[in-house]
Amino acid sequence: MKESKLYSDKSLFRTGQLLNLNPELYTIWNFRRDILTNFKFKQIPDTDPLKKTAALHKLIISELQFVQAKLSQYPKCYWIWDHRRWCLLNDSQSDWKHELDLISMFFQADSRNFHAWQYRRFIIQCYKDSLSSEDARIQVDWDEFKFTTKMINKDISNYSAWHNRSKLIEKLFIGSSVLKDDNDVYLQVFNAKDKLKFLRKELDLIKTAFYTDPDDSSVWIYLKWLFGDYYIKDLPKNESRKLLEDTIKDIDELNELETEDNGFDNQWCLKSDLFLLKSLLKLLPKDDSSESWKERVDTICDKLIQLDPMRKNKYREHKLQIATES
Amino acid sequence: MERSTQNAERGVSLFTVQIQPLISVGVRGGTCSTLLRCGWVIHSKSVCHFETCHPVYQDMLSNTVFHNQLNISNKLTAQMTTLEKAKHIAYIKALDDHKDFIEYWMSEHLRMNGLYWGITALFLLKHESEFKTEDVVKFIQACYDETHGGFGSFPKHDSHLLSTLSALQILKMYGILEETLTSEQRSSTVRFIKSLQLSDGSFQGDRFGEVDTRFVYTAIQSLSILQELDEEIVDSAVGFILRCQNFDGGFGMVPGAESHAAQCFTCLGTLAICDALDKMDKDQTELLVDWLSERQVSSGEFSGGLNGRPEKLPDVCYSWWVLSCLGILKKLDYIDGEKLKGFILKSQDLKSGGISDRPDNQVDVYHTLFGIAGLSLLGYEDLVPVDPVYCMPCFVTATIKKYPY
Repeated sequence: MKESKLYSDKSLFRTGQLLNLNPELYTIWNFRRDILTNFKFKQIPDTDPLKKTAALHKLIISELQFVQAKLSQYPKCYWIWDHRRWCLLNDSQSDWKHELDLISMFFQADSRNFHAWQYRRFIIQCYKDSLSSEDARIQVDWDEFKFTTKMINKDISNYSAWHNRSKLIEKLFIGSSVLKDDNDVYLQVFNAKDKLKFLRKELDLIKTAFYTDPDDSSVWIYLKWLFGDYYIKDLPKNESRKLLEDTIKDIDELNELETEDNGFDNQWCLKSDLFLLKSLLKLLPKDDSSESWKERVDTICDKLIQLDPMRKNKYREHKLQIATES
Repeated sequence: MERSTQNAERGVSLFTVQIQPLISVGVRGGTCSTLLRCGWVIHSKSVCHFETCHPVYQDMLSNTVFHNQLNISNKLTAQMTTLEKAKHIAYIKALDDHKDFIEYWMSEHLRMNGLYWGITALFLLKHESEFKTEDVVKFIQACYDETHGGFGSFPKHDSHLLSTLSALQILKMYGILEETLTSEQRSSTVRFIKSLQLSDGSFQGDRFGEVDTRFVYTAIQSLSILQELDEEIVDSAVGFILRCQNFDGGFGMVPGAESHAAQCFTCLGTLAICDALDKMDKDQTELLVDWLSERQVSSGEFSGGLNGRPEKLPDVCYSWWVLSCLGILKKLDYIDGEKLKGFILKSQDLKSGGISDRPDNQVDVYHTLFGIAGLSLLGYEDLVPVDPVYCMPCFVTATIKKYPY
């Protein structure tokens, strides 16, 4: 049927049967799209543009129902997600709100499903593209940022939510429009483009997070980003230094508690201290005052070589780097 | 073309790509989700469907459950400290014998990939002659898409970048690429690949527009094998890849997408082929190396294995996706190679041959290749050295002229 380009209701039905058996048959998805484009869409009369748009929308809704059934069974199948995207791009009356509600259902089943997250970003972008003002678009990013806060508060180890947050923060700092909402501190920070204030607020959140679950890697990895170039290069040195020293102190306090409870250091506390100390050393003058920090780095590396022997070569290299920089 | 298709369908080097049922008692942690991403079907659902309508499959199903139960007890008692090469060779060879299985027909959508996985494993085990090259060539030729150029996954399937790369890799490994493709097929395939690059530097997998860094990698490697890279293609592809880097140093499937080890491989592989590894920011590279080394799980029953993202279960295929990245960045020693070897070896099936995603699960040719490739990168015994950029033997990639020309 495919080779002879037999586009008909019968061939469409057949593709449905095959895809029910195996939704990974990409060639059959291709054929289905060709049938829709060259036959079903063309069946709609051209005479009244409004009626045509409505009829096309109705056709796509029916197709989306077919896709949704497949997605519920196979929520990690690239081909199915891609077909859903194709459907939405062929419908000028797509219901973005409905799509976001659908994504929420997938998140309930698996909040780390990256297909669902990527689809959410796609929907958000399509929705933003349909808006006429920059103000309205940046408001969408702000709502999405609040959504990541909600997901993180629900589950601190939702790496996918932290990741999405990092992308939204960048957009919110670039955006030139003024956000309008309640008296949320974050909102004020984004409007003022105040990275220092943002960092202080975000570090409070991180501190709560790592006290909640000191063994979850998401928060520690996110913490490294907060002390990366994106923020630090825009801050005065003394401010960065203070933030680093304060955070190291917080981590040390947590590590003391962990050591009391478990009898040994918490690896993530040590790894994070190592990262932050190395960043701090870059800011300090190369004189005797940095010597005690270097000794700390050396001690931490030795501890990590014992506690995390699988990665010992990495720690040995850090030791060597610090020693060579003396 | 029609006759060769018929021959191909009747069984000229068409081996089944064994599908992992979720039905057995011993399955832990679910099916490898990277495998799902490469196109595997979740079988428990299909199985339910088939139970009601396909008597042949019903028999196979009950045999499979029983076989799995036997497998589990065998695996639990076996001491797996060596690579059972002969068993794996036999396992791969036998994949061609299952044409009566429903799985054989259900896996058409990735048969070309499956052939590449099996053949590459045989090359690394120095047993590539287990398949006759003429059979392999017949199948590949039957998958050529005369309308669009490029290769599909199976005869009569549309061409796609994923299957096109696998076809080219297989022919390159056997050293018969130039003699197999006619000049028309070669130029159509090049045109097909180049036509899929978009203005932002990304590649779509086929004319329907799905964009993913997997497709950038497959396109760039294909063009590298064919020596058809140029500055325009490379510069815009590199630009796109760099925009896929994230807060943690890792790479996602498109700009904005979450970091995943398999995408780290496709992005680093692309940068390496394009001679653009130095375009990555130094601090970002350090973050990436750190992130990759943290993929080794250090506690629990699967300790020593590598996972694909934080807080996920380890899986043998990440022995490739993560390890090859560390290999490209020259930091292989940032994980414990001995512990990883142990995890891979424990994931073997000593009865049937083959390697699974983790110990006590069903084997398949995908994990068999990536387990062996991981061991090769770790310098295990006398396995043929594998190139971490191309996932082909080094002696093959040494013959590819590297960009810039």
